[in-house]
Amino acid sequence: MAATVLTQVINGLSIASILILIALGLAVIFGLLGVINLAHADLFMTGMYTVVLVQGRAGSFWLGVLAAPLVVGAIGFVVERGVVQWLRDRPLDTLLATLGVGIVLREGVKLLFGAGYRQVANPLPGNVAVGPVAYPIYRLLLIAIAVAILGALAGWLYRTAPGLRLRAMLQDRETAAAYGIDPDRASLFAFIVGAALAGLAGALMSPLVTVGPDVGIIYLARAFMVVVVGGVGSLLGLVGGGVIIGGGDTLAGYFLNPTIANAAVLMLAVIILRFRPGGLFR
Amino acid sequence: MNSIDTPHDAPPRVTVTPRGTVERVWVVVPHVLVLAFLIAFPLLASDYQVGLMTQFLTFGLLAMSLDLLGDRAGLVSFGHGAWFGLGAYTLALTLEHLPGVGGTYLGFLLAALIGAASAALLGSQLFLGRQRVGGVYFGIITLAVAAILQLVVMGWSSFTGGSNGLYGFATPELAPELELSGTRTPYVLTATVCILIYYGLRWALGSALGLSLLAARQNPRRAEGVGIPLGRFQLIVFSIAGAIAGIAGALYVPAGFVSPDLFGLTFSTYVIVWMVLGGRGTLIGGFLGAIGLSELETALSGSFVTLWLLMVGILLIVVVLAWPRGAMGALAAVTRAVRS
Amino acid sequence: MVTSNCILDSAFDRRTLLRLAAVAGVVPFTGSLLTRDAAAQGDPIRVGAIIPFTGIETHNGLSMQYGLEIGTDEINAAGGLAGRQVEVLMEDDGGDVGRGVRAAAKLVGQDKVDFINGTLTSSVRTAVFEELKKTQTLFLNPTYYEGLLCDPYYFSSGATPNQGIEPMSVFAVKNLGKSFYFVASDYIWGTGSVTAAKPAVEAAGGSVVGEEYVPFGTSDFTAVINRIKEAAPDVVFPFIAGQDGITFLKQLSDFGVRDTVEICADSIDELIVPALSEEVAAGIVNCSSYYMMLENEANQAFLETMRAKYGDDALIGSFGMNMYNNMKLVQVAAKGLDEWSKDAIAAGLREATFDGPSGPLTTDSTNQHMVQNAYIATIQPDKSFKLEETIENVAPQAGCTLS
Repeated sequence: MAATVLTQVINGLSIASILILIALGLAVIFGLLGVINLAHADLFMTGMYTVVLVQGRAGSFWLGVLAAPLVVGAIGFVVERGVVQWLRDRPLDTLLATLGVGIVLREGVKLLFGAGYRQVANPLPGNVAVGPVAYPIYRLLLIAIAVAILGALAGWLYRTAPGLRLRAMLQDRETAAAYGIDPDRASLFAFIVGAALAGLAGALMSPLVTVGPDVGIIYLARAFMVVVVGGVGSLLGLVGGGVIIGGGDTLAGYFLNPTIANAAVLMLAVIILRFRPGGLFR
Repeated sequence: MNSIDTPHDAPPRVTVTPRGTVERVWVVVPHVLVLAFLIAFPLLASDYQVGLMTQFLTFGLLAMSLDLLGDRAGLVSFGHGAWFGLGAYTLALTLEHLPGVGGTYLGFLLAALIGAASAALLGSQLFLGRQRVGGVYFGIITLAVAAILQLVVMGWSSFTGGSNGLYGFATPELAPELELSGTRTPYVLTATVCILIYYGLRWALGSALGLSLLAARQNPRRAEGVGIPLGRFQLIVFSIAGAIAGIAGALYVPAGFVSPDLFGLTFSTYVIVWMVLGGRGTLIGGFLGAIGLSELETALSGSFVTLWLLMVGILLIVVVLAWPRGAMGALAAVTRAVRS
Repeated sequence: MVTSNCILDSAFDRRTLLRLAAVAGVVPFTGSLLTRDAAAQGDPIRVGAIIPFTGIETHNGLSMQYGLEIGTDEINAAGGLAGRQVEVLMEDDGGDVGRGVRAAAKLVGQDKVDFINGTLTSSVRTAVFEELKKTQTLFLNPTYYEGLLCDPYYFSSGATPNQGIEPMSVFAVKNLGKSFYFVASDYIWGTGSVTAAKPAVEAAGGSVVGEEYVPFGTSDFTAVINRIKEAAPDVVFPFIAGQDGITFLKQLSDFGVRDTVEICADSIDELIVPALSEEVAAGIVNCSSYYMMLENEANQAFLETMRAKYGDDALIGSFGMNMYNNMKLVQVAAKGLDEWSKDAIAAGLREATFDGPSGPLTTDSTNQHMVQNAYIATIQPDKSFKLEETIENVAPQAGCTLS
């Protein structure tokens, strides 16, 4: 019994940490620009393919993980300068434009890599004993990485001057602009960072699943849910959202069949959104 | 900053009121062209083409309803395909259990009703009350709702056929000897419904209600200041859009099968693409966009689909940046240039 | 919103530029992609193929193309069908029912193909089957499946459950273990396969300790794997489609459960194995109607041709081989015909036999499926397949008959 509960708890943490990693990039862009980046899933997917490429050429997974945020961040730069910056203050148009960007990324990857699937070798195969339970090492590592990244982000946001500026922008963009924070640069920054985080998440996720051009779509709805359920603008919100959706996933997955479990979690998110449109932790 | 209630972003329409007869003719010409095309098509095209066009007409109707939602309620639904799916499944399931003329009419009625009712239900939760949900949040919620519906349809296999979809249900019949089979009859029905709904909408949108909706969409705060009940209006428009989408889905049923893919994100995304590339705010833009793009995609030999989709993605970006009014806008600009 | 004049000016230039570029790009580009024209009279025989080039079955798509094209080449080299050369038209269904039906409608209605060879995913096949019945188009299926399709114009070289699942179940109970856990994709192939497998396992003396169904695109099997762990079966028998199946095996290994169970399947063949690591693949037992490692002359010749044409890395599995078999069966049926006639071909197919790389095939006229061999193989530590048992000339039970 204890083993089962422990397994489920670790499962929940594992899924939550994965969701948080995926949602981080989305949260940054949404928080700063008020825009849901529909290309997020495909930036995430591009990060995966970066690892595929690097692991194929250089034989190193971790090199790929290092390269992914750089590559995808660069793509974010191009997208922001080429598309998003012209659509300031037009959130729905930005939404549509990012939809287009997503399509371009997906089809571009298909053209470059073929529509077939790739596998990324797990850098840390095997499992380790956590009390009475044996759990995959890599998943545990992901939990640790998620915590580390969140910690670093929190430290940066709350302890540094640029972080302070960012928080100001998150709270009230107009007033922040009045205080001299350049919205143009902030937008560029947000997009690059958001994209890089998406790429990093993809890279980190790649050993767990099968890599394909459409792999991002599955995570898109989940990532949205985490961001909006948790509320935008606070790391706590993000963590809260991740825990709720991740925990909900695990609980539902334990008791219900996978299809219904999926639907139940989405339903939960919709209900939360209906009663607290700004998110739970706003 | 955290504005969850943002208007449809397309720039305001420039309407030139026709004065002389020549001007009036210019306005009528595009209508005549489209109508002529719709009437001539089944007479000139092959059975296969007509069958395909019938499906595309239903897509056009769906795009029209999404455009209505955007133009008059300022909302973009990311799950609009789900309402199409609801309508399609409703008719298919009705026919499965109640074949014949009665089943057909009941099915169509139910499709419209369920489309409207589900939209109304969702809308009542989102638009009424102190904190209205719109803009981006509305998009996410509709995305989630579509995903939920898809999972329910896939999971409830005993009723809906699950991932396999539904086929082999009774052929819909409009009258004891008038089956909606083959290609010509469904085409005539679908085209007629499209024409009726299009002109019905145009008339309604020109009415007092329609104009207040437009005002509300262009400047919500001022509209509210004048006393227009924004939330209730959004609810009405959403319900109508839902009903039309449901009807469009039902009209798809003569194709012979329905599948859960209709509820998927890809299909809903396509509807948005059709609407945006065709031209937002024009009703006809989305309609023609759906038909045109679907025809093009089907006509491509298989291996070029990736390149084609890439082009569509690029076009989407370009249109949003440079042609917010889409193909219709471009056409209007060209005709205006020609006229002057 | 509010913009200064300078921005408007530059926006105007940018917009015009973008617009010109768009028009300059789209028009000729689209025109160049609209390549196909409909058939004219007196032309080659056209075979339409519906193949998943995108989606979760992509890895099989190419292999199906290989089999199709090699078969066509051989036919054309030998003079064609009824004296006419054969032309191949392929459409991608992406594993999607809607696209599959539209592909079928296009191939028949616009391209006027003479017969259809293909479809992989069962939900696509069933919908296409219904669609092709409208025009009574000759339809040949290459994919093993749950059966249940019978029609005068439908022939299947794809194995039925008793030609794959049943022998696999018998072998597994005898050699791998007694308790079984089924995991299947939640659609007609998954559910139909489990429905066939359960009684087979029980009849052989085994027991079923669990069965569950997962939707397409499941990327996280944690919950499923936990349940398997708790049920502690001897054997896991998965029916998970395409790439999802690979993800499942990968994660099964990640959680350490792979070491505690045996795996038997009918879907883990030489096309899947490159994606698996040695630890995961070694010891898996699979039943199929074809393997590249089969040692017969026809297969050696086939593989040589394939590698020469598509490269040394080219792979082919039962789907691809049956595309080839289907073409050869049509060739047999067309022998002696002066003129192509659908009914003559159908009649010929009903009596056709062909001995090829996958062994001998003979049509069973009660259901128009093929009598064929089943091969059970174990994956070795170096990921090669070793033949364990050949069950010869299994008669197909399709779950339906032609009256």
